[in-house]
Amino acid sequence: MTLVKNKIGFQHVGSFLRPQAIKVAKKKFADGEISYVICTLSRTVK
Amino acid sequence: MHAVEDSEIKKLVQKEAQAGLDYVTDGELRRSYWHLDFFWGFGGVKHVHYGEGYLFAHEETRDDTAILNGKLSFDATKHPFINDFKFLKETAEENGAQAKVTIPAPAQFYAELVRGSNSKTIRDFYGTDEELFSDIIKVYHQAILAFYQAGARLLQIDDCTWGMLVDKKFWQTMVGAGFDPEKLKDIYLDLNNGAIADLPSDLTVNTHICRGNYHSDWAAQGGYDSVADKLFGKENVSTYFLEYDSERAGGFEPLAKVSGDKNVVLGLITSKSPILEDRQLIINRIHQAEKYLPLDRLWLSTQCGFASTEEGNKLTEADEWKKLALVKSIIEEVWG
Repeated sequence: MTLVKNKIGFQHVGSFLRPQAIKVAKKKFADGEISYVICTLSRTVK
Repeated sequence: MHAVEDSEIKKLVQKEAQAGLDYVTDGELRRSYWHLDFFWGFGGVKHVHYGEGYLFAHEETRDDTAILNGKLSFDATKHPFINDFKFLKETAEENGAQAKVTIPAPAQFYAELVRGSNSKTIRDFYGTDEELFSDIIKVYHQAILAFYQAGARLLQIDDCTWGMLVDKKFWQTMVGAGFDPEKLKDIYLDLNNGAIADLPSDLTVNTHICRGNYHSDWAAQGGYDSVADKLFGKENVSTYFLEYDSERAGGFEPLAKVSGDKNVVLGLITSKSPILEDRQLIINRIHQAEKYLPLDRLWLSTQCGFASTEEGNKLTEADEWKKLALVKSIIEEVWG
């Protein structure tokens, strides 16, 4: 059965529970306390 | 806030790799919804409030939605999912895993644009439905190629449209709204197949079919029988991730319609509850499914994600990892 393991692999459907830190940051963002600055691999975009 | 997301995604990917996942996602941690955030990234799409949420069996969701406010367009430098994928890929590779990207299906986009009063703006920009279909296919194809150019080699299109079509109540609602459900099957199939046609051969495209996943609630019920001919027979994906965690998903008989050498991942472990399944019962069910599709074309996962929206399901982070450990353990026993 190695073949099927190789062709699909162990993978999760997709989503995970949002960690508390993200919930807090989202609330602060909604309240205007923090901005949404994107720090990408090679550049920073506002 | 983006920096917080980056930090949490790095932690999540580490945990995924430690859990033995060969492919890792960003957990969709940046998204509010599994689908709408992606739609909002296209040109010609406006984020508005519908006035009513999606009506699940026991709960109503928030009321965000997407409507057209122009002709559809895609720009890889503006759609946030592309750069976000680059971050995931880099993080995955740091942890010895491969990155998996999940996006809502093209059919799902169409379903949102024609949801009730949302459809009023379509004729402002498209003279015919065919022109709209053509542009949905075009922008999706461009987006998928952008993911590929960013390094994606495994892409999953998440699709509740088929999951809704199996429900007689939904069927009646759509008939009441002037839709022909039989024609909808063709539209959904053509949109999905159109978007994923002529892609690089080393890009694997899978799909996940869902009946709704919000705060552990569900939206639709019914087996795959009525959609199997088109969904399983004609959709040009490699693998179907199918819900099979409750009686609402029906029997395994429709799996006999899965054409060619396509695979099915049985979603027998529920992400809606923290209760761990009996492993032998799951193994027994896998062997029941084997009557309709060979074991070497079957596989196992949870039936859906743990948090299709930011609200998440009613379980803990510790429960998530126990569920995934159970999946891995059964995979090793059945296919190892």
